[in-house]
Amino acid sequence: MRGVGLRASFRKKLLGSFLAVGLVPLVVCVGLILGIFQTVLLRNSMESAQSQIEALTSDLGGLIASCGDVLEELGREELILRAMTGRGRGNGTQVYNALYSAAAPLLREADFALYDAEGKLLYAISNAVPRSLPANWGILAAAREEEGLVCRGTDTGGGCMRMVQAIPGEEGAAGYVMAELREEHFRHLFQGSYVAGNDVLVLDPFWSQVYASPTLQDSTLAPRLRACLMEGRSLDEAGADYTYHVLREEESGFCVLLRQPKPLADGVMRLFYVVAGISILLCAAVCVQVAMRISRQLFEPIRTLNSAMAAVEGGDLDTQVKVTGTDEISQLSGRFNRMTQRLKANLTQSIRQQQELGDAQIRMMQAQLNPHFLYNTLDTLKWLGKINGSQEVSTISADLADILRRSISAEEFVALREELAVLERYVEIQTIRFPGKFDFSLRVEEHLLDALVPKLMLQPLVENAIIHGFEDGSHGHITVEAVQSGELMLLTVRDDGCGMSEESLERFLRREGPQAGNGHLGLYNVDAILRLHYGPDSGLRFLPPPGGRGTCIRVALPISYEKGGEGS
Amino acid sequence: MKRRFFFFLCTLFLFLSACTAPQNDPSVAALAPPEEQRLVVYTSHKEEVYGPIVKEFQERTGIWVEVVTGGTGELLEDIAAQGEVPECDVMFGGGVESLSAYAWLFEPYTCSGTELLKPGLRPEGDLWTPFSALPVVLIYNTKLVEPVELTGWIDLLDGRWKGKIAFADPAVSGSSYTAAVTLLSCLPGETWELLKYFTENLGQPLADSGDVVAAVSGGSKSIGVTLEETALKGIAQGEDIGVIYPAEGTSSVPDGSALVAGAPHPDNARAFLEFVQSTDVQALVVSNFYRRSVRQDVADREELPTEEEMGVFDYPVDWASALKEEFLLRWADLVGEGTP
Repeated sequence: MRGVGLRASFRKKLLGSFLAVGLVPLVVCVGLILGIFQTVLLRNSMESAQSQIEALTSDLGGLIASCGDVLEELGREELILRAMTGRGRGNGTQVYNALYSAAAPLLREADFALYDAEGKLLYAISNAVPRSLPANWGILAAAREEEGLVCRGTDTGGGCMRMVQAIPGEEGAAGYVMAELREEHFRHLFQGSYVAGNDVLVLDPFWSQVYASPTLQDSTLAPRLRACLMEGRSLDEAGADYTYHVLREEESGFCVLLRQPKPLADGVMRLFYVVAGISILLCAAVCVQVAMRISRQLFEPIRTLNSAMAAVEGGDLDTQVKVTGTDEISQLSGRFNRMTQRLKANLTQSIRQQQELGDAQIRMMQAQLNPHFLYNTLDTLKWLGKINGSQEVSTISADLADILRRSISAEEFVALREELAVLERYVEIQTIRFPGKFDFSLRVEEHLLDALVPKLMLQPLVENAIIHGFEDGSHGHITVEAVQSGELMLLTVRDDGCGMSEESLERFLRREGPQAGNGHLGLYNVDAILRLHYGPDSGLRFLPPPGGRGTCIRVALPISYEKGGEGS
Repeated sequence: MKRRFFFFLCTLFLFLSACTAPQNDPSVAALAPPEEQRLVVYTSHKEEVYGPIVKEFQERTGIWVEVVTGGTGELLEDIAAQGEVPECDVMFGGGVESLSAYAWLFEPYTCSGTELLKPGLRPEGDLWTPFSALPVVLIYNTKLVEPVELTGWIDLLDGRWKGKIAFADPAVSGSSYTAAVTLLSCLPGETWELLKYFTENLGQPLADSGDVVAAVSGGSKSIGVTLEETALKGIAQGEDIGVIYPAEGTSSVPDGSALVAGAPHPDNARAFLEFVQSTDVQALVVSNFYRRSVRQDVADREELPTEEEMGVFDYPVDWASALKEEFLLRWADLVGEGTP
């Protein structure tokens, strides 16, 4: 369960980071590129449309102004005025001459005609103009009302634009001069002013169609555009796939409208979006794949390590992890292996120490076996010796009883004074056993008498000196010293006997245990006790004996006192 | 992580919205007329009628007119459905019967020069403004029928024209209902008796009043009942028909325009009503539309008989309105009996 949790969170984090790192820049870039692409394209087409429509509008404005000039010139012509009022009728050629010469610069750009006060056609350059116009209606009525040029669009005959100026007569208008722009004129005017593929509409001030370029066949477009304008909607809603640009010719109020195909059809944009979407999806898929793969590579060794740790936690110190490679995870595995090995070694050592302590305790308890019975027996012996007059038996029995009593006590540490008392008893016994074989001297600094030492520590050392030092029968001297050296109390047992054999000494130093029959059991025991109490470095030390003969054993103990201190 | 994701979404949204934002050209919006220069006209006239009038009105006043076209009944229903805040300013066209039937939709307005209207055309309370007078006439196929064979309404009950009469269904055509009421008014006798005789003689009515001229001219019917305007237009377009003004007299019911109560642009609407009754427009009505002017100071076509010569009588508008429901029920019964 923990393994799965670790796996899930690890993967999720990795996946999230990969997605963020992989996708965010991609999406931002794609968005930026698409946005910039579209904006630039739109702006370019917008600018191009703007310049075209400005050109178209100024063309129209220029033509209207020129027509106005021609009409004004015609209106001033005396000949024409006379023709209007009927006085100069019959003088047709002259009137035509005047008409043609005034209209000369615009002969291809517009049609010019003269109407009388009732709106009947008098003279015209082209036959396409109407034979009559209503005098009280439409453009003639407007021209009569207004001084100067009047522009009107009509939708008759495919639409045209008329400019009329009234010629003032005696009462009202004497007649009218008219310029008419029909489809062919507009076509000629706008030729080359707009890009092929675009279309031009000319709308009157109320947005009725006056002219549509030949490629624009949609007769319902102008009403649709007008509806859009009236309802306040964007003109682009009048037809899909096109944008519309409009500019008003201020003089006449007519509007020129340019229809431009959208630079990017919706289909193309959709394709862009689809491609962008697919590449983002693809990138996401790659991110997921790579994240999974890397997480698996990283996770396998971690999982192994994790389960190995769980095994160690359960107590199996033999667990080892297989180390492959040299990366960080492998180093971690190696350290783990070394750690378990060290742990195991420490455990083994501590078990062994425990065992040794146990053994010493068992030995001590065996030594205490049934001591009271022995003590009473020895007491009986002492009294028997006294009754029978055997002083030596009595002394030995008393000494032995005293040693036995002290050794029975459960305390592990005793004051040095006590320890020395036991030692003296023992020496007294041995002096009776081996009279004249050795003499014994004690040199103890007075203040150390109350220091604590392990119980029955000195006696085995002295016994070792008596039994092994003088086994060749020679007479010797045994000295026990206790001096203070800094924090330590140095206890030295020295004899001038035959000394320990090289073999025994080496064996002892290697701590191999006593050899059967060779003795020195006491030394081993004391050594073991000291090392258990004071640490592995606190065993017996063998000093070179002064004078080169005998054995010199030293014990260094930290000085400590019973409760009550030095002076008690 | 969440915050980063949110940020990412925001960025994406910004870009997409920047990409797809519609570019609304403010200069285009500036070309649109302000609210006080607008007018919404609902009209049942054909474009050849309302087109030149609306165009001239725009140019003279500078007011932009939005035209909504449709059948009279349909448009009136639309206005009624718009309730308290109508979108429409003026109802232009429709027989005065129809306008009377929806009197609560309109606001009275008295045009200047009302006193110059022909007698009998000025409505009570000036609830609407008459536009043109439309006499009901009889037509015949000039190839199939001698002019002397047809004299007046009484011929429509004559058995020899049985099944040969072109007459539009009054349930569909308002002008046809006017014609039927005129017939019932001009002939002596009990109303529903006359209707029974007429429907027996008629057979199956035509579905649309526009079909009458075509049916007579085409020869599938010999005689027909229609408006003078329609007949004259047909003749001008070269149809083989002749016009007979019924000897018993006829009705000359005007169509009209009315100001919608609560109109969004009432001033412009009043200007429009003034305009359609002006001499200029009335002259156009006569010269271009084959209609009769409603003004005394605008002369009708010389070749046409005057109102007196036609024997025009006061059309009983209220009676006709009150009768309509029952009439249509009986009509449906009678015509339904007549057809298998």
